[in-house]
This record gives sequence, structure tokens and C-alpha cells, in this order.
Amino acid sequence: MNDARTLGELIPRAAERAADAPAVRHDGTTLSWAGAAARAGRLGAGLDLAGVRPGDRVGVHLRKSPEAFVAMHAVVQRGAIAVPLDPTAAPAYLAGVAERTGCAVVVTHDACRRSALALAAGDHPTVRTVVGLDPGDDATGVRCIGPDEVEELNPVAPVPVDPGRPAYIITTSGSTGVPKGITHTHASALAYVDFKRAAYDLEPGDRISDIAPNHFDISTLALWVTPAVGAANVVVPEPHQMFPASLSQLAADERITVWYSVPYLLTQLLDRGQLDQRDLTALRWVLFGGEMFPPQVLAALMARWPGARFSNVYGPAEVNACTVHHLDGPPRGEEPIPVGGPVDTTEVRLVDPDAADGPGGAEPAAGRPGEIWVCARTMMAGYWERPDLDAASTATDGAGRRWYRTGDLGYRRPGGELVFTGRVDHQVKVRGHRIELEAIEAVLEDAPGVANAVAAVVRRSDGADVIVAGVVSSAQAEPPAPHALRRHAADHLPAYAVPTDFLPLTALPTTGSGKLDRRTIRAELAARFQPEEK
Amino acid sequence: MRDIASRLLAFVQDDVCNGSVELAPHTDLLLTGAVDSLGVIRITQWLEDETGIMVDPGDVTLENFQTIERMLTYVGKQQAEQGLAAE
Repeated sequence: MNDARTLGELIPRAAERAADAPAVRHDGTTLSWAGAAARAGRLGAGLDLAGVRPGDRVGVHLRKSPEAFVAMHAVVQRGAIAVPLDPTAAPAYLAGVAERTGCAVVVTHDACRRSALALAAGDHPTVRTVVGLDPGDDATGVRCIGPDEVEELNPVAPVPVDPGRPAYIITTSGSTGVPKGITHTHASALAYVDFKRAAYDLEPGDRISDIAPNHFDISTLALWVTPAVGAANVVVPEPHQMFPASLSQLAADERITVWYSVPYLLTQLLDRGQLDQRDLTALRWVLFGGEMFPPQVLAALMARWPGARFSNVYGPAEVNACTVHHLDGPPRGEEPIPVGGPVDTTEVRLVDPDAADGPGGAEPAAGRPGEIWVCARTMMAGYWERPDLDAASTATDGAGRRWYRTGDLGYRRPGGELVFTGRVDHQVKVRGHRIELEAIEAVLEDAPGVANAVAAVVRRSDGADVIVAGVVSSAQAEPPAPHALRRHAADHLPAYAVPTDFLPLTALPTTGSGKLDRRTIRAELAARFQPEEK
Repeated sequence: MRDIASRLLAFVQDDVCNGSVELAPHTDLLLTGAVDSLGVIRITQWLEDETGIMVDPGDVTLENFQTIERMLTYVGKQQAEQGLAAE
């Protein structure tokens, strides 16, 4: 059924198969596949009007909404490359993303008006045209193509594009503080669609939660898989994610059949979602990934939803998806939930992290740890304009196949199933988001008045992980104010990586070579730091 | 009630949002992204501590927490239902 060769064909084909079937559900309204095709075609005409050419990068600066779904498809239908932007991030941070990827055009809507226009302000803005906003006094020096203007255009058909060309760029933090752009092609995204369909029996009539932020790779399940399957995409607006009782109500009202989120949201649902008062019997698959799920919490949730099957999904954004583990029953004890094994044509190898022979090396024995390497059709083309990072993270085996080095550590159970254990570096996960502590430290050390900074993850009493930073001020300087540090961090880091609290530090331990002993300080900081509890 | 109104506004603006936004009683806290899920938990605790009401988890919803005004309406209703005197 998935005969599409490019992402741009997905919605038109879904509309041919079932024009009136629901494509997107949002706030009680339904957009059909025919409606989605028409809207994507009109927005495509708007992108043409904005001067977008195949290969151009287009920012998608939208909240969770039918507009965001349509915009991502409209951009790839023009052969252009979509760059989803986090509408909650600071404009200066987003301007940096737009600059590095070269986005001259951004698609947005009125709810993001202020930040979208801020993105196009400044002395040398990369963004010149904003599609989806009416002109106004606040929009000087930027061309606006308003929603009504787009609405009156004749829909255009998708342009043919080589499936090996880039389709979208997911931005993730890099260890130096400069974010990197994970660039996927039409082919790698469609391979991900195949992977998901091989792993789960998705079908027309399914209603799939669209809950992850658009700039987070978990969102690509609802984005690309729903049109391929003919299932409906159920938009979960950001505010619902803060209110587990409202979130569970939405899931019940919409009769969601396939859920996919980070474990954090499921934990919130269990704790505060009033699940005893919600009919969620329509749920048949609960997919989770992005971070480890505490086994006893998962067991409690599985007891609550006996009719649903649960599946742990593993895969860095660079390879979309890598392995899955369907749970046969509730986890027992505290042993971590396996990430399972590969699906479809994906291959996984464990390699001794100290060995220099890369993916060709021998696997450690069962139970022995190794670094996880992946060879898959779902793999990215590379990091956007960063051949240095590509070279460091990929290798070619004797048969000429490319492998991605995940930096994740794991071991195999006797049955061959993979268990994730940690990282080779200081990358951490906070609510599923990848965060490089070094990046936060590098950014803070560039702030005025800061000599050294150390970042750490702290688990609060409510079970939520937050980032805190200890800061040593320069000898001559006034200690920087927390709000100034926060502003500086927000201008340079993704919103999820901005520390919530700052603690002044003095007298830091150093290693034998005179460098800061960051590992020790991080551990002390995490132990010492009591986030404000009022 | 006026006292609670101004103190709640100050708490949300200065503590929860770290002074990063200017809030009015009718500002949509959720769409602006000013308050995140941790912020909601802190606001809930603050309301319990400062007004004496018990917040039922089922009441922690979009409808009751969208704006400062909505929170105050909810608090007033709960104070009446729970037999607490409004300040």
C-alpha cells in the first residue's frame, strides 16, 4: 500500500484512496484527506509565491495544529527542506537555527506572530518572507503572505524530486553549544514508515496521537505514517500536555488507538490523569521511547490498560528508529526494559568502544557491554553542512555499507535482545530530549561575568528531571544575576536545555592536569542542589 | 480575594515564569508557553498552601488554569464548596 517514493506523494495518494476519511482531528474539528491535499496544495502555491525552490530550506514555526501537519507536507511537496522550529524557544536561538540552515522563508500562524516576526528582525536576518501572517505595523522589513491570500491560490501538484534528496532537518544540541541539523531524505523517512508498519499492525481507522513537539523526532510517526496508512492524526495541543486530566480526557474523547510519547507523559497520566474515570479501551498500542521507563511505573500503567499492547522504541534521531521491544507482560523487578531488536532491514551491532575496528569488529559476548552501531535505510543523509561530524559518527564496513555510531552503550540478553545502559559521553535525556551538558556549560561560560559553569540533571520530588547549573563568576566581575544567565542560555540553547536554577559556586575541584573535575562537580551539584520548593 | 489575586499574579509572574513575561489576569498562560507542566504543579501547591483549599487532581484542567482569572474563579468556588471563608 505504501507505494510512495517521495514524502510529497503521501497526502495526494491518501486522498485518492479515501478522500473523505479523517486525516487530522483537532479541537473537535476534522480535516479530511481531500481537505488536507487541497490545503497542502494551496500552501505549496504560497511557497512558490514566496520564491521557494527545490532544495531551499523552509522554517516551520507552528504550534501543534493541523497547520503544522499541512505545512510539513507542503514544504516537502515543493522539493524543499522543512526545518521544524520550536515555537517556545527564544527568537535569538531560532534565528541561529535559521541562519545555519539558510531559511529565507518561514511558515507560521498568528499564534506565533510575535516570535516569527522577531525571527525576521535584526540587522542581517536570514528570514525574508513569512507565510501565514497578515502584514501589519509590527512587520517591517519582512514580506508577509497572509492566510487569506494563501486561501485564494490554486492548489499546485507536488513537484517530482529524487528520493535521495533531503526532506527535513531535525535540530539537536551539539556538544560544543552549536546545534546540529540531522538531515533526513525522502527515502530515509519512507524507510521509517516501512519500519513502523513492519513493527505495528497499523491500519486505516487507527487514530494516532500527534503529541510530540514538531521539532522532536517522535512527531514523525504521526506526520509521515498516518497518510501512508490512511489513519487519522489526532493533534494534542501543547497545553494539554501540562494537564494530565485534560490529556486523558482528550485521549478518551478522540478514542485514540495508538499512543506514542516519552515515558514522562505516561507517568503523568498515571499519577494525575484520573484514569479510573476515563474510558481508554480504544487504545491498542502504547509506544514509548526517548528515555528509560521506570519498570514499576510501566507495570502499574499496564495493569490500568490491560487491553493495550506496550512497546519500547529505541533509535536516535539520526536513524529514526532502530529497535523495538513489545512487552509480553508487565516488567518484574527493577531490571531495565530491553530496547529489543531491529525490525525490517535494520541491523544492529555491539562494538567494543575502545576497539578501533568500528562496525567490522567482533561483538562482545552476551551480557558484556558494547557501543551500539546501526546500519539502516532509515539513517540520515548526514548532519547539515557538518562533514566533520559525519566523519566522526559514521563508518563504512567491508561491504561498503554505512553504519551510524550511536554513542549509546548496551548489552545483549542471552536471547539476543538489546538492553540500553547509558552513554559513552555526557549526553543526558530530560523528558526524552537529548541534552549535552558540555553544550550548556560552553554557552554559560560565554556569558558576561562567568568564569566556569557546570551543568547537572536533578530529579525533583515530583519525579520530573530538571537541569541546574553551578556558576563561578570571573574574579573582577559582579556575580551574574540568574535572570541574565537564563536569558543568555535561552538565546543560545534549545528551550528544553535552559537550566531552571542557577547556583553560585566557588573553589572547584580540579583534575591532576589542572582542568575542572566536571564529573565530580556534577555529582556534587546534583546531590547538593535542592530546587526551590515553595 | 484581591489580596490573593495580586499575590497569585506576582507568584506566577516572578516565581513560576522567573520574571520573563508581563502577565495580566486574563493572559492565556498556556498558549504563550509561559507556564510549563512543572509550573502547573507549583501553582497547584501554592493555591493549596495560600488559600487552604484542597485541589482535586481532576480539577487540574485547562479550563481551571488557563488564566489567573480562571484560577481565582476556581478558588472562589472551592472555598464556597469546602466551607472556607474567602480572604
